[in-house]
Amino acid sequence: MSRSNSVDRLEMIVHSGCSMIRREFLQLGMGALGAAAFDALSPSLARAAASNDEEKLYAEARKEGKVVWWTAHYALSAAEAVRNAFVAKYPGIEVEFIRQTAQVIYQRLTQNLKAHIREVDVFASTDEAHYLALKNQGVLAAYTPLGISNLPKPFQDIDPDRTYHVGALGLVLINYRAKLENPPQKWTDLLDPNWQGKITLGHPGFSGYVGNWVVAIWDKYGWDYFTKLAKNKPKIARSIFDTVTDIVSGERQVGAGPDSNSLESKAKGNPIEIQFPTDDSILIASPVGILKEAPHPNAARLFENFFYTREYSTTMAKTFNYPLRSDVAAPSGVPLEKVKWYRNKAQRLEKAIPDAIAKWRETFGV
Amino acid sequence: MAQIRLVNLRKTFGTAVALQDITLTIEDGELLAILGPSGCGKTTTMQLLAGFVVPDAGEVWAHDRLISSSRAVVPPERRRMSLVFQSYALWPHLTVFQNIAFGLEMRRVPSDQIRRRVNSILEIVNLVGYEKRYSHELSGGQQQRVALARALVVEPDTLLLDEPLSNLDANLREQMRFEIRRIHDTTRITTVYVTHDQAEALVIADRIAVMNKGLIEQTGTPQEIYEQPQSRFVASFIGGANCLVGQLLEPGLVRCGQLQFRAKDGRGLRAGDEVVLCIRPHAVKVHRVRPDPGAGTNLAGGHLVQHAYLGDLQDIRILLPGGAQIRALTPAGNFFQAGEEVFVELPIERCYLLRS
Amino acid sequence: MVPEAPVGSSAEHRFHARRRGLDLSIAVWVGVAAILLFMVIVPLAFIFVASVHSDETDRLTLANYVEAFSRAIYLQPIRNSLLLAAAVAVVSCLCGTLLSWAVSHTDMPARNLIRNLVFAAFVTPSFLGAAAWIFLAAPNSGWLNRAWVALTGAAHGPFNIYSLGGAIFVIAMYSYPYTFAFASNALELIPSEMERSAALLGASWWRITWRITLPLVRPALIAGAVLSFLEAIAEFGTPAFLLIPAGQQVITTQLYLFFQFPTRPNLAAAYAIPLLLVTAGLFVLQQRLLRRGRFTTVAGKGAVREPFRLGRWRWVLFAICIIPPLCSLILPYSALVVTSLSRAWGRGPLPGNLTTHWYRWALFENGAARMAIQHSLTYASAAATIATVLAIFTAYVAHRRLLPGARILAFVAVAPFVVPGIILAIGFFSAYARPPIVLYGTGWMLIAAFATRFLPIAYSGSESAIRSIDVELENAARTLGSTALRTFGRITLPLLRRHVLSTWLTAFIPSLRELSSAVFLFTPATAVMTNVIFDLSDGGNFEPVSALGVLMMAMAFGLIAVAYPVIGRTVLIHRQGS
Repeated sequence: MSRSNSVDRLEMIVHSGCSMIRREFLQLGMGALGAAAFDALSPSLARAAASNDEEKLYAEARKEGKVVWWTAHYALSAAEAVRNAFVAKYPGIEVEFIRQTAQVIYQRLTQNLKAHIREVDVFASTDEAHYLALKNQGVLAAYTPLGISNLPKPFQDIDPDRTYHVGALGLVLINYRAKLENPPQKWTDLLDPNWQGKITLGHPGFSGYVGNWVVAIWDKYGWDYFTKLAKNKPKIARSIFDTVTDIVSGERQVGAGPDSNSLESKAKGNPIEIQFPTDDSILIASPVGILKEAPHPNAARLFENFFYTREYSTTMAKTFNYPLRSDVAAPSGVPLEKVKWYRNKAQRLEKAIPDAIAKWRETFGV
Repeated sequence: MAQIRLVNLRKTFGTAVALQDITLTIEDGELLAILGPSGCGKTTTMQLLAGFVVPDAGEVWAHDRLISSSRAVVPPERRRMSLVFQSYALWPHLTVFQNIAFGLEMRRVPSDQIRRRVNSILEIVNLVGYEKRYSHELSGGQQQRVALARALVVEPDTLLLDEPLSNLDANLREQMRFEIRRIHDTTRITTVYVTHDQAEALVIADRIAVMNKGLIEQTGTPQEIYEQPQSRFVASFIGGANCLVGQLLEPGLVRCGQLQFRAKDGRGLRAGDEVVLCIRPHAVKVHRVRPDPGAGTNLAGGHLVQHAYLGDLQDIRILLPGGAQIRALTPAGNFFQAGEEVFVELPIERCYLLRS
Repeated sequence: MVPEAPVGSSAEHRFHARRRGLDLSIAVWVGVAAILLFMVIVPLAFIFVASVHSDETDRLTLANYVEAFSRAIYLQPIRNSLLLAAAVAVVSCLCGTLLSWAVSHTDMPARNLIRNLVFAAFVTPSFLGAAAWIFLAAPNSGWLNRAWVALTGAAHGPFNIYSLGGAIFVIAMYSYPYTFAFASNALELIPSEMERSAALLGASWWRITWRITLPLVRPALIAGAVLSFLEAIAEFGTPAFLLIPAGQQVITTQLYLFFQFPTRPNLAAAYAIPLLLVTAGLFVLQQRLLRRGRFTTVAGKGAVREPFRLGRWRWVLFAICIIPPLCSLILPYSALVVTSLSRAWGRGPLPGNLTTHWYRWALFENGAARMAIQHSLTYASAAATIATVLAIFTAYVAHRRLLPGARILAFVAVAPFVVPGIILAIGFFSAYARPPIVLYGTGWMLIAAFATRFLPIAYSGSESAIRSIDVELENAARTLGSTALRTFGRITLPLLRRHVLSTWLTAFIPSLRELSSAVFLFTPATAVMTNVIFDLSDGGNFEPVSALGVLMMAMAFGLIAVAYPVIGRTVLIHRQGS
């Protein structure tokens, strides 16, 4: 499949995202299968080359000794699990990581770049717009990870220049306290005055997930939605994961929250449920990319490759995130292709998120 | 050993004039006391001598070496002077031995010699056995002696003592006066002794310099200072003389208000000069009955306004016609009471005149 | 005429010695001045320049000021900040005065306990208290509210910590030790005759307190209140924890937001300058009050005071006086410890919910947390050492007037006091995150910022220590042949030993718990404990937040416990305020 072709496909997905039906998705999934079948045509050859490359890369990476990874993709516990899985697979390479909200790590990265500090190897934000800006500055390294072909086709090359790739999949949906009567079914239900003082939200100025959600809802319903939402006096935290804390602790009843953390908490026995909104969950395909001036370039590549291994997808599933590979089952029990989702275009995010933050501050006061 | 000369020293702190113009020589081997009330500049003089203060003008010479001028000052550590502070300034973190040995260490004296010299100075100041104590474990007198030992052990050319006895109680103070004198007699170190206590100065010093308001009023032996004060300040500060302001009518005759007194003729005074007639309280006699006016005495009636019983003596104040007061110290025995009309007798040979 | 060589030393030796002494003085002057310039003046100058500059057009402009002070969304935080700080000042003044009076003037039971608890509150950073109070008094989930609902059957608990009132309460609970320190200092120095003579004239203890005692310490009270105001207006952590969820902003959180994506550094600088002016002005006011206060009240040396006998009211007073320590220590620390030992804090302290996992996590499992603990200890040590050395040198030079311009040095050394941590951090960031001097990304960025922030505390400690050493002790050494420098080494420093330790500690402890400048200056490779705590607090990771917080405070209190026999409590607490 040619690059331009796949871009077109992607555009199509984005345009038709909200109205996409299972059939189309299945078609795309067939595409992915087709690619896999292509791989299978020359299995020994490809595998040998791949493992050879991997061995070489691992040897180089070991010399570097560690990889520094800044991530906003998932919760701390998930990031720790990823680190542990990587270290188990590749002993001798430490993973230094921080987990923070997308805008915070992006802000720290831009500060570092201005000060010419080389600190981070792998940058994993949840706001695709960050990568467009970083590309413009020419600070991202182009690299095609080994095993990228294990991804469903539509996610295989979201950047035609291969400076970043999908590193995690997640949804913004409605989470709510268990045993709630009449939980909201769709985003517009949150505007009901019944929910006054009962809603918890993250902040688009911090969280990439929240930023994505705000832009999506803004595009769906106009800013008026938020003006009305503000009247319900939501509690505004920073991270999208704070919504889970608030619901679990009983501080608030409903939120615009993440699938993963909500499910993880539920699995622990906490009183929390999720609802796929009938007016679309917001899909966030969080990118991951390697810095051109990465202090540990080989370890960085090895680490990025790891994202497309089975181990990584298994770890994702265990930590209640959607696996990247379709050969690992989704933790929610609802495979992504069965979810009614909507995804923002990167170009739209680039312009819209700063605007959304500014408007948010006007509307919510913080 | 050194002769110290202070030449035209001036020092002001901000607007306050500490020293107006001090010229003073301390002879080699002499013990000179600088005596004056607090604030007279004696401590500043001491600080100048020790090199802690830079003079605004004037010079300090040690023998024939200039050690202080307004332009440069030989720092304290190179003046070969030891200073005993009023507070003793014993270092609380060091033992008696370490305190005394400090100066010798600074001079890089070998440690066996240090031990020997410290031990011998401890004997002199009677503190053998106290080497390992800290200053807070010592009495005031012992601290004082440690301070003295610390200053002496380095065999300075000059020893400066800044009110060294003022923190001791009365008995110990008297004892230490003689002690200091004894040590000076054995060592013959040129010594400057600053005090506000006239008795101390009279007992200890070879010579006394009386200071007042940043000036030296008079220098002389204790006897000269006491017997022949050159100024009203010296007269009243040393021995608390009565001073009656008046005008010289003729040599030896003064008019003070309505009264006239005869006195020993003052040098260089002329008729019409404003003068002060001084007489010490001890010399004043008080009578209930008007005594026979002899040739050698002045006599005046007065009103006894205040009376205090001091044991051997009684301290009496008499108001003379015209408002002047006379203080008399007379033997107890003949008791007076406040309110009595009495007669005071001022022997002419004890009345001396000073220019006002 | 130039003095000749004194007996016993050659002219050459003297010349040499003089030269060396002179050069050293100049070196100290220049060195200290350069360091202070680097640490204080350059960062502030950078803020000022940034405030009248536009990075987009690279031109000088006043547009930043216009924008910062014309838009309602930026003005509201200023109102909130002023309201918050003023209310904190009042509350902490009331608490501090009552407690210090009870402790110094009455026979209330457990006075020493109260004193120690106040001190412990003083050591605790208020953002930890804020985290703990979220567990206690979040409107629906807070334990106190839930207990209330369970007991009374009411629909809602009475407390809402996510509010301006909540933030005022929490900050006041950690700033009243300032007024306590000032007031008890002044109260203990009141000559007891002043109160006794009023008693002899027939005044009741109530009247004596109202008419004699309190008026005498009024300047100290106001000075303490001003300090609380300064603390509150500069506070960042607590408003970030409590006010952002409430949709409220204060100046410091607004400054923080200006540095979040999309960043507005020029706007932030313009926004910061007036805050700086306010704090500087208040500091001057406070110093004036203190000077006048010293003149009127600190005449006596204090005396053994016969406490007012309160009879059975003494327990009533105790019950009132234990409330602030209860709110600042007992409840919050209990909440932190319980949370740190919970698998999930929302489920409460149930048997199945207990775990030591988070301590193992912080100490061994999480590389970032472990590294942060190491960084906290090393950076705070380095900063305290730099601040102490600098402060002692400056104080010595200034107090002994060893150099011309010594007073200016002293002024510059205390100047950072008026700079809120967040503003200092902005200055440091603008100055040292870009060539030619790049400290950002290294530990020195934080070390230098901590050292600068706490230099004034170290300075005032050193200054009073040096003042306590009779200059005659040094002069005695000089006359015995010791040079000025040797005297400093052999006499002054050994005498200062205890003070050096306490000064070091007074700089170390606040460095260890510093958040408001660290939050701007760290990179993940140089993060300290407070950074990790702040980072973890979003995402609802309150269990590791608590564990790290408890560990941090255990370090602080452990160190104090070790040093306590040597230096005493009062030294520490009085130092901070002076």
